[in-house]
Amino acid sequence: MNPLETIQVLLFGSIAEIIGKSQMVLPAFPHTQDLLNYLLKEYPQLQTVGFVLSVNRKIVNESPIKSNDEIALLPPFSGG
Amino acid sequence: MGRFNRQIILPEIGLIHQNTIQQSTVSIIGIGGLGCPVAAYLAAAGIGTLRLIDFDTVQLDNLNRQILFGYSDIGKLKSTSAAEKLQAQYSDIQLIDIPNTLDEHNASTLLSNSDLIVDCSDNFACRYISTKTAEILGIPLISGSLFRSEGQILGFNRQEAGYKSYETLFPKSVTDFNTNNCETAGILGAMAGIVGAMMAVEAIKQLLDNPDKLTNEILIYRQNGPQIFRIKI
Repeated sequence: MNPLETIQVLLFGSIAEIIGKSQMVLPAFPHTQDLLNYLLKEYPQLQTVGFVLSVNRKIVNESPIKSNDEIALLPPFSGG
Repeated sequence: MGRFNRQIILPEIGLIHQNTIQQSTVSIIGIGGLGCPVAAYLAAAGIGTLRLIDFDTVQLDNLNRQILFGYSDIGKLKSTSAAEKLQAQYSDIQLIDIPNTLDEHNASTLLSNSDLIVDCSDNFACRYISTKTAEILGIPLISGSLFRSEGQILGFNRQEAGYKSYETLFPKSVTDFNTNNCETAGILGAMAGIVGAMMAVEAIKQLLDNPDKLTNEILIYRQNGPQIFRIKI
């Protein structure tokens, strides 16, 4: 990974609370699975939270990532 | 001076769309933190028939956000109390009080013949039932939910491009882990008001087939910033 190539990661709900921030800038992992592997290793508690991923505001199952992409981790909410 | 003059003069409403609003039937599931502002604004806008579905009674700790209720409503059925209050305010619409739990046996009956379903419930079990029933009946659905300082509004329409079911997005095994609701996570009353008001706007856009309607998308409101995100499903 080129350290100058980065992505923005948006964090919502309980995911933001586990990681302790609502957004972060990370190196541009080549694929969403690489990003997930990194996050789950750094923040093992994420394994207890279900969520979907979006890349550039479109939900994906998995996707290649490129520099400057915006990734969001979206857990479902239930409160009403 | 008519009751709806201020919205009729809007270019996107006009007399024709106001007529559509007044001929519409909307079913609201859950008359709590989100359901109160949704019901209040849809009633104010003149929705012809509002079905209010909620089995629960008003509790003291509901009062920071469930703005249709006060001390005198504690212990009363939410659907009944809200329907009586809104009917007294607006004699030109029909309020239907449905004090039931929505379940897989009654959902089709309770929700059929709606032009739109608005899910304001506070649990995943109900969301699976409402979204599945909306899919089967082919009725568009606006589903809102809260977690502390964030709100999610999902717009589903099986008849439009890009549809994925709620259960496809969030399989039941996943939601088992995410059980925080307003009772356990906490909520600022005004947050429920903002998200509920946004849901009412999206409901009207859906009924009027507005080109910008929220269809097979998620709208997220974040209190801090504040920020708004719109994501295609």
